[in-house]
Amino acid sequence: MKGTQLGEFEELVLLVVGVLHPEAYGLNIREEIISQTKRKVAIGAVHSSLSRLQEKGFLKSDLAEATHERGGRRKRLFSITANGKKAIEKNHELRNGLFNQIPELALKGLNLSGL
Amino acid sequence: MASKKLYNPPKLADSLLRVLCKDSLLEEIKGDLFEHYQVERAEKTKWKANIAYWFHTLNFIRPFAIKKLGQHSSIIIMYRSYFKFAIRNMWRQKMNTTFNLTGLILAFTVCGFIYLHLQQELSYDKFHERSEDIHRVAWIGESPQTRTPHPLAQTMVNDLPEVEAAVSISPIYGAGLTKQSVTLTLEKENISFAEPDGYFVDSTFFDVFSFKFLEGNPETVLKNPFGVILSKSTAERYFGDKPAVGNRLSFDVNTDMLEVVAVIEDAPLTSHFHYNFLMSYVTLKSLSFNDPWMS
Repeated sequence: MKGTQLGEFEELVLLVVGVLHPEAYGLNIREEIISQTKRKVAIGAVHSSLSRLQEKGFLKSDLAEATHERGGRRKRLFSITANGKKAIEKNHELRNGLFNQIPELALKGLNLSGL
Repeated sequence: MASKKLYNPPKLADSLLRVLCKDSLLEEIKGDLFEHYQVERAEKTKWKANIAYWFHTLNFIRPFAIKKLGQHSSIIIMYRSYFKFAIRNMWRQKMNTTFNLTGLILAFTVCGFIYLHLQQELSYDKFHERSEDIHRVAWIGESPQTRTPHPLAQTMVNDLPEVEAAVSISPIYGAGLTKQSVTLTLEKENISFAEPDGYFVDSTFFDVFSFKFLEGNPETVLKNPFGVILSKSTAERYFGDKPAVGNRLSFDVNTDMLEVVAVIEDAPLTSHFHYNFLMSYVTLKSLSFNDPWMS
């Protein structure tokens, strides 16, 4: 089994799969990422991440019905597994925990409007 | 998206994908690309959509999506496993591997050097236009040598039809037939060098050898006495960048005896003889050398 570390982009994909449940597949995951983060993402990059997440056991997938706008091809729908859920929860807790530990002094007076 | 009419994406990109992509991923990938293309075509011009399609297709050339070589070839699978065994064994026996590889690498390196050396040796004198037809006349006797009487060259041309042209070359000899350096002086600039590798050559020199002229006329240069041809590097020593032809040089103590009639390129590295200056052979007849062949 590969390491169960979650990369930054992988985490993003995993979260978006959750957001789009139960209709998450390659193309609309990409669109959601682009619209939410304003990043430029290639379709290949999303598929690459999805296949890696599946190898790590964070996602499972099924082929759906063939549709007309895809030229009669089936699409693969992804959903989060129990392991995947555990991984994002762990990350979420870790980040919130760390964020809450930052003393207020460190953020005080920082001008965020310029960013 | 409700329109029934579907746009066809570029065929070449599709077949490329079919060749490279894993069969198990092909359907979903193609489907996504196709669906994306429909959206692009609806919004943009055709060629912009095509470029985007190509971009996304080529973007799938990543380790996770491309076919593993030899998925269906037992030969490739077999040799891959042999290769793995070889690497693992080599790794296990490091001492042996070191010796074997060192020997092999050394041997190949030496072979390479021998090849380069031979190539250089065999390239000698090949720069002449008819290098295969040029021969050196030697006298094979009790003490073989390449010194032959001066009249021999032109006699061969006259008497033997297969000899098209011949040239005799005479180095400037000092006491005991040693090659001697000659002091050439440019009087007005007072530049003086002891020049080795000076030769007296027949006017047929350039019929046989094809050294290139930088200054002067190849037809007339060696016909008159006291003409001297300088090699490029020699000419630069006396005249720098200025033209050399027409200037006079002193030959040892004989003030302004020689007239520069031409400048030719230096003999390439792979020439078996090298020259700094060439004088017309007729000059020799005007000098008071004590030579019975000349009288």
